[in-house]
Amino acid sequence: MREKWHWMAGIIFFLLTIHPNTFFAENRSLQDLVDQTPAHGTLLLQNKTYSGNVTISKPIAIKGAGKTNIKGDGTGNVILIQKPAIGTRLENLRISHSSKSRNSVEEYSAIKVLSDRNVLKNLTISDSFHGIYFSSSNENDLSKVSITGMGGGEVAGQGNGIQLIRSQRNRLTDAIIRDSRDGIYFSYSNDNVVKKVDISHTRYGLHYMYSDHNHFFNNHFHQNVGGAAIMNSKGIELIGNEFSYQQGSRSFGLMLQASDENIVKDNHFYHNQRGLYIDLSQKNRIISNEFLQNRIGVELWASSSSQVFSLNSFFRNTLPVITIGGQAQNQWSENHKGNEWGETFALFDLNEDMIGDIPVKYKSSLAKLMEDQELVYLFLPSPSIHIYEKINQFLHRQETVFTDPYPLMSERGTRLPVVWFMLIPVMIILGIIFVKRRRRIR
Amino acid sequence: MTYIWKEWKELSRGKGLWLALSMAMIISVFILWQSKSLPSDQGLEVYLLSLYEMNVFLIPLLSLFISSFAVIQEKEQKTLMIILTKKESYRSFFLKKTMGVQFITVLVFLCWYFALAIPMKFLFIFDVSSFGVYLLTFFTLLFIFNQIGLLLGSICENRMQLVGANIFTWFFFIFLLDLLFLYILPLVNEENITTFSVFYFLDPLHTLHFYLETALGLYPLDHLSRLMKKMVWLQPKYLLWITLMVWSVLSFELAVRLRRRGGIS
Repeated sequence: MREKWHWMAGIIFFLLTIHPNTFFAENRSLQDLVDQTPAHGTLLLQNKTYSGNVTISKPIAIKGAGKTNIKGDGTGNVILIQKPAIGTRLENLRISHSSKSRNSVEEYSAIKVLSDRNVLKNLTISDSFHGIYFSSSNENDLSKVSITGMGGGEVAGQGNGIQLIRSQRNRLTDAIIRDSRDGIYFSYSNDNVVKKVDISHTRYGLHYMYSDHNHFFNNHFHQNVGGAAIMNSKGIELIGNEFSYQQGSRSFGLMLQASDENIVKDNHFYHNQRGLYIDLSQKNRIISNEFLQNRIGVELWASSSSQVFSLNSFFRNTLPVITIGGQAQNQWSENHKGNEWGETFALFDLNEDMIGDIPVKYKSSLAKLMEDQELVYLFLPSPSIHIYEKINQFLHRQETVFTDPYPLMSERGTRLPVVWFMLIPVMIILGIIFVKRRRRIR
Repeated sequence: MTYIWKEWKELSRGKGLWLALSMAMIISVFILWQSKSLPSDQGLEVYLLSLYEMNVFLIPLLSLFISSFAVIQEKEQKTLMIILTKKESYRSFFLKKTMGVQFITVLVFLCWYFALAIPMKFLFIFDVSSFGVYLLTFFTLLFIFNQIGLLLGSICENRMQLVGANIFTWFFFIFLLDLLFLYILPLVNEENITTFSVFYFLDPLHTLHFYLETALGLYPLDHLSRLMKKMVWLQPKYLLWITLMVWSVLSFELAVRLRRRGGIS
């Protein structure tokens, strides 16, 4: 008997010393398992579906086995991390089925975070109103998260992929968000970093209110109604992002509205209705961006002034820049470096300093029409736009859009594409065959 | 079938069809080459849209010439007179001629696009439905302008008249019509937007471009403004079919009713 007790004590001692805070999930409710896990302990879940909802009130780690599902009951948040649970970890989980009620006081989500310094990693979220909701929650680290919203239907009926309200210094990396109302929604949230996030098929990829000094690096906003809508904010850095395929009648790659002193650098604006849209904003620095094949490269409203545009490249946009509501004071060069305007303007560079010898002055008559009539955007793909501009140029009805005193010489577009060199021998061979056949017939 | 074979012989012996095809081939390859430098995701959709936007300049002009010359040739070579004296009505002749021209032109371009699909498959993530949408749009464009060309061939008396009519029609659709719309635009408001929309979408170039953009997922129809919701009062696919039907039937009927014999008394 005593020997048996020795064995049991030995086994218990072994388990406790090997992994003192690890508990393996059994066939009890998920809430029971969470409650029984001690603070700073780890709960390992199996590859099966656990029923939520669950509230975490102390710092623990919950780790799934790869195919672990947590399915809510549809009445609230699936996982709620409460204020005292500082430093909670959620890993390798699939989370779904939060409440989608719009009659409740609270907006629900798959994960609602109220505490600080949590780690959310390798999570797949679906069938929920909001994906992840940070409310007054700071210094969290979110990575490798995939969120699929409800898609379709009316805007009010959908939640956001990630929502940050009064949340500071969070780090969001490697996330994929699609089919939600807005991809990431910021409100009164400062000093956050968003990196390598891919957002598509939403209303606004990034919707942004009253949030300052946030940083966005290498994100990809595509096929949204608007790529990123930055409103009432300042000191934001947008570097190395790609804004592409935002093509509705009101669409834009990036919108700066009532936002000042932001840095927009090294971004790619590709195939948008408007690449960059600036309204009611001052002192933004637009540096080294590429605007390629947009209907309008930059749409600038007269309410915006003191922007600096330098070292940007504009290629094959229907209209490179349009100013609406009259002229405003904006700077189209910095340190004697203007912008590259591609094939839009023919430039000479006799002193070979890679800067055009004369300033580029761009005039257009479309601004007034666009100001009054939204449907003009439907005609931007039409070749008639250029005839319309020419007629108005002849009738002196054009207004100056911008003057770039130091336009950069373009290297692109001046070289003959290699395909033409490949086509020349093909055409010569076809010509020889044709001539020989004709001679034979004669 | 006899007419299709006859049409094949006539069109294949002439240079027009092959010239049109070779121009379409050069443009396709040129844009394909340029598309290589664009961002890889959705490359196929952007390539197809760019290809269509380039074809809009070329295909209407080429198809107008090919199809209208096919009819005027019958008048000039007096084969039309011979056919009509053999108890064949003009309506029946014109229907068979239409089927022959449409079948041959569609077939030739279809062969080229299937060949083009091979490099597309290697360069992009190939999506069959996007390619199908492009083919539908392209062949609707070809079909409508072939039909208008047949109409012009039917109502013009000689080649000189026909050349002028073809160039004017092309210029009208590509430039003049949109210019007219641009000058009317300031008068458009929420009350008359539906009327404007009807005329706007009756222009096949507008409808086809709009259909292609929406069907390729490059122009979302959700979150439209109130004005745009009124403008797009029918799904783009229905607008496409309506435009196709209107232009085909109208061109055919006008061609039969307004025909000129071209020197045949």
